[in-house]
Amino acid sequence: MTSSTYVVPRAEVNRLTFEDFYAAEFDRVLDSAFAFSGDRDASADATQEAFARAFARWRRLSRQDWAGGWVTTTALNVLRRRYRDAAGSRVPVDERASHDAHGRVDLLRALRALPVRQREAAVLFYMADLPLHAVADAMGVSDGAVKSHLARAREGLRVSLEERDA
Amino acid sequence: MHDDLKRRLRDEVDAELGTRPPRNLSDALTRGRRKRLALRLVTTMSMVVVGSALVAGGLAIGRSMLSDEALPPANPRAEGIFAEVGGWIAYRSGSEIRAVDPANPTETRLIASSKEADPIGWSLDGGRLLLRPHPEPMVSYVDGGWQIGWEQPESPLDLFVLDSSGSRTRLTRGNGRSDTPSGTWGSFSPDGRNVVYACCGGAPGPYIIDADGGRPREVPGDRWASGGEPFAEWAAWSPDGSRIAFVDFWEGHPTYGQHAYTLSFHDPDSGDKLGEVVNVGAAGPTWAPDGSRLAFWAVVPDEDADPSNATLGPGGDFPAQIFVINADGSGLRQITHAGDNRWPTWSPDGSRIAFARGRLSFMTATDGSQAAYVQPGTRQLVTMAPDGTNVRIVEGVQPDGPIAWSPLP
Repeated sequence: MTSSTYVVPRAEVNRLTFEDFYAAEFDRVLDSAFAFSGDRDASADATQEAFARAFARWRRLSRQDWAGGWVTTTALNVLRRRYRDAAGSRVPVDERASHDAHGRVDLLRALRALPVRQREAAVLFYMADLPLHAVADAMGVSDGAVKSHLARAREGLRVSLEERDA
Repeated sequence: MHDDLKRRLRDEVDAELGTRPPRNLSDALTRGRRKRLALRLVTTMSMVVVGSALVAGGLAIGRSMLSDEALPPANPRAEGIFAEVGGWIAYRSGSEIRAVDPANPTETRLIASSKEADPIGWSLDGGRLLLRPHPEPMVSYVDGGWQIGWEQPESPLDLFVLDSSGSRTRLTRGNGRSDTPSGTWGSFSPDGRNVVYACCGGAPGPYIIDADGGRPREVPGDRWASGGEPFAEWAAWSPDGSRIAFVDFWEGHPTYGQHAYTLSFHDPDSGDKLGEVVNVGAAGPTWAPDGSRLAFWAVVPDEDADPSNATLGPGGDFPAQIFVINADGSGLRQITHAGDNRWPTWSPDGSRIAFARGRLSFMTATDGSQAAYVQPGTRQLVTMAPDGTNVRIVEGVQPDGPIAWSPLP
């Protein structure tokens, strides 16, 4: 379909050592995992696991322009599997009200209350900064399906905004 | 809206996460080294197991696949959900797998929901359809050469078999472990009992797996014995059972150098090479019904392109074209020349090749680099004679990926 830069430009990936790559991408991957799960420890561990997997494949991965996206997606997959193995299938959904103690809209909580696929699409698009087609590939769905997930995610977040304003 | 959401989400992550956990590069490296070692161990062990089985069983694997009783029925007949599409071309259109009568394009049938998979090949009796997920190969310029890669990071690059009752069997488990390698392309054995498949360069392969599922086994052979490290990316089993076409990506090929692709043909029993090895990045290989020729697509770079900064040439052309080659690796010839042409599939009598034709568009990435792609929903279904003449468009059909011509007459 396409060849493009997802997170780290390809030319830079080719120059980067794994150590440089780790330093450049760690926060983005961790933040995405945390936005997805809300679990600080699990996110940190999933991030480490994703980078370990990347290192095991570094010779091939380092030549790809989507290395950063690969690690982020892997971290989300690690989280999803962990929850599936531990709780029998579902990533936890944050059922708490989507407002913080000061009455502000808590987008993160609203995000975590979304269905998992919508949440995954939103995290990859808004947090990991992957372009639409890369999100589609990462999720194994069509571009149209991602648009649909994102539209529903935004609608879910919009409802939270309106509830706050009501 | 997008930028605002991004900013607010990141701000909230910053606020909620606070001080981030310490980075631990050495831990990532240690864990990564263990995983790398495990990958190699599993690969080595599988080779030993396959080798032992071959010695102990007197090549029982290959023989059982090609025994007389395993031949397809003499008078196959499409049944169930395939009852009305014998000799038609299966394709994905959005979320549906459909089939069209190429002789009468107004006739199309819904076969099944695509569930995000493309049809890539039929069993010879027309009773089962092999499906694959539909990330398309991407083309990139790396270290001095064009490469075909996969955008899909880890999941789910899995093959499925759709049978005439409409049920699906998941053949592979793309969980990132090398003992359950994923699959992105393959084909049925002549008897329909097995599927040969390869993946996206993450594991050696190709592999053979029971068409009803089970544990895959690596096709025997010693392609790496002469040096280099092949990663099978495509595989196709000839309908006469005599050979399997491998397309390998090599980190370093002893003859063709760094990051080379080869197309080669191998005995399914022994893995022995048959005929010539061809230095070509063949993709989507499919066999003529008589097993005499193989069709595939390959990228034909625009020589005017400036790959150093990943921009495209003045003509904007960066297309794939259809090629045909003889079963012994001789007679390579390009049979399409205009547009972007992929996914060849042969008519039941071998007199036509159908393929998907698109027009390349450009995408500008976030760093300003550009890439070419075909806008989904804009491809045409086209047929032609195997020499590239007598081209006909199957009007009104827009395949979104690979296509598969039912082998039933």
